[in-house]
Amino acid sequence: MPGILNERSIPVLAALWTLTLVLIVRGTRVEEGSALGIDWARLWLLFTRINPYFFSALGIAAAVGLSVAGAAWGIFITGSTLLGAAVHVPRITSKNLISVIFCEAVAIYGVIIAIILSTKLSDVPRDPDTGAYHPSTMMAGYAVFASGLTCGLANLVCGICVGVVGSSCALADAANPALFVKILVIEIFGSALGLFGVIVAIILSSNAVFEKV
Amino acid sequence: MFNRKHGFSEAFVRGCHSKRLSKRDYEELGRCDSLEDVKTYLESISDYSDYLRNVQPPVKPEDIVACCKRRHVKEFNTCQHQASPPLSTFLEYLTYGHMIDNLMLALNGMLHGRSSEEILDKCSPIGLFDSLPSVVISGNVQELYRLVLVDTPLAKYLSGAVSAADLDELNVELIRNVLYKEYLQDFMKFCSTLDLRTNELMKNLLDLEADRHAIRITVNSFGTELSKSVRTTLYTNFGTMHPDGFVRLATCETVDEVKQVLVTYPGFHEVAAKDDAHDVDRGLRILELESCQRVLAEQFNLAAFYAFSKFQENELSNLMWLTECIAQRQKSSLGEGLICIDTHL
Repeated sequence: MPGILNERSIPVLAALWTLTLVLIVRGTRVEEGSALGIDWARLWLLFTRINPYFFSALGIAAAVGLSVAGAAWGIFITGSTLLGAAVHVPRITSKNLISVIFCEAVAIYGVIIAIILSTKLSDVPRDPDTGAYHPSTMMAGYAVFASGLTCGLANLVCGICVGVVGSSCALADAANPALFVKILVIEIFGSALGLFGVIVAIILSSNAVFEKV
Repeated sequence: MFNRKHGFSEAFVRGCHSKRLSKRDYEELGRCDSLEDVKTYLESISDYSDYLRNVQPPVKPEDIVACCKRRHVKEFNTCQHQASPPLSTFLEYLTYGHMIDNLMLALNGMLHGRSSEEILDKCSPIGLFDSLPSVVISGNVQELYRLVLVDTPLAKYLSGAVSAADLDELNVELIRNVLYKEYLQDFMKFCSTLDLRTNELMKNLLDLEADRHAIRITVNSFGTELSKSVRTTLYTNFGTMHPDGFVRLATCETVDEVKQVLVTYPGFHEVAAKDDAHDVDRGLRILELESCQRVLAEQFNLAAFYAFSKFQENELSNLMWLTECIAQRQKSSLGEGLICIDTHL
């Protein structure tokens, strides 16, 4: 089955996307000014008025979603190779479950960060006069978004990395059992990459506090 | 994303590859005095025991070879059943080579009036096509020609190259070479549609195969009425020696001249430095298996399947040589035909 993104559909989708962007920008241009001027100030205002809770939710979704995507991808790569290699060398299956567990851990990182981030959310009212949120609330929203994205992307690539190494691990183990431990060390370093993302995410979000001023 | 489709098959193939007879196994087999010993030794290697169980003494060389063949076919078929495009197409291309061999076997057999069972027995089951048995039984060369043109994937290689009328012995060889050339070129074209790494690796392997093809034609054409201009048309349009090496090969008249051409190419230098004419072909085969071995060191590309099938062929020919040597009690010549590359990295 051909995917939605193939060499024919990509130009069409790109053209549609450009058209949409042009329409959005033209819709917000200044009526009185020069004919083609874009009201950057108004666009900026639109952006700064985006609800901080929207950013927070997006951050949490990215943290758990991307992490799970990475873990699933990794398990798939490892698993398919493991199954094939185990046809002739059944002894490798239980040992190489470790590779699968390493991939799984990546998803757990994402879940942990998502839980940490979601506990930070609390209801903060808008300023009754201007209708805007307090700058510290806005900052908390951005911080949660950034930390979620950091964790998600780091874990996505970490999952793929561990998956690729894990599948090589299965093949190497099938060919020569002495190689298993050596490749396992590489795999551990691979899975440490995801932890870096988690650490940065925790530090980033530690400053984010939704509190009433 | 490679593993989404081909991860299982690739690992499976590697599993089969690691169960191949190793250098040590060949050494042990070389020490056997009778085919019964060979059978016992092979049975002690777990993978062969299933296939050898039904072999009754006295053991004949053909029995052991047939077992090996059965095993290879089973491995290949399992792989093919698991495959999805583009791997399935890739594997189909691998069968075309066997198909060409089968076709030529059938043609040769029929021209010499062999019985149909004998021909079918020799055919490689990987390259069987549906109409082959019926044609061989009917024993009609014209019929075979017509069916091949209509029914098989080889039709696109054959069309226009030859007519049914000029099927005699020299022409059979000629047709084989024409077919093989077209097949290699088509395979190359197909590989260029695959992913980058596969394409790169396959290009090296097929280049080497094209060189072998050209050298084989050149060496075989000595002393026949094949003219040099015809020889040129049989060379492929790629290869490490393409184009100037092929031009020089076309003018060669003795094996020594061929070697002089080969020496100028770094990859073939060692092969050509040997003395014996037989050694050139053997050296090239070793070269090919070594590059296959290198290909297997990489993961996530389809070239591994090509390397796998080459190793299968090698194991088969090794066993064939070994059993024949032992059966005819000529163990001194054992080393000449065996090519063992250590399968484990």
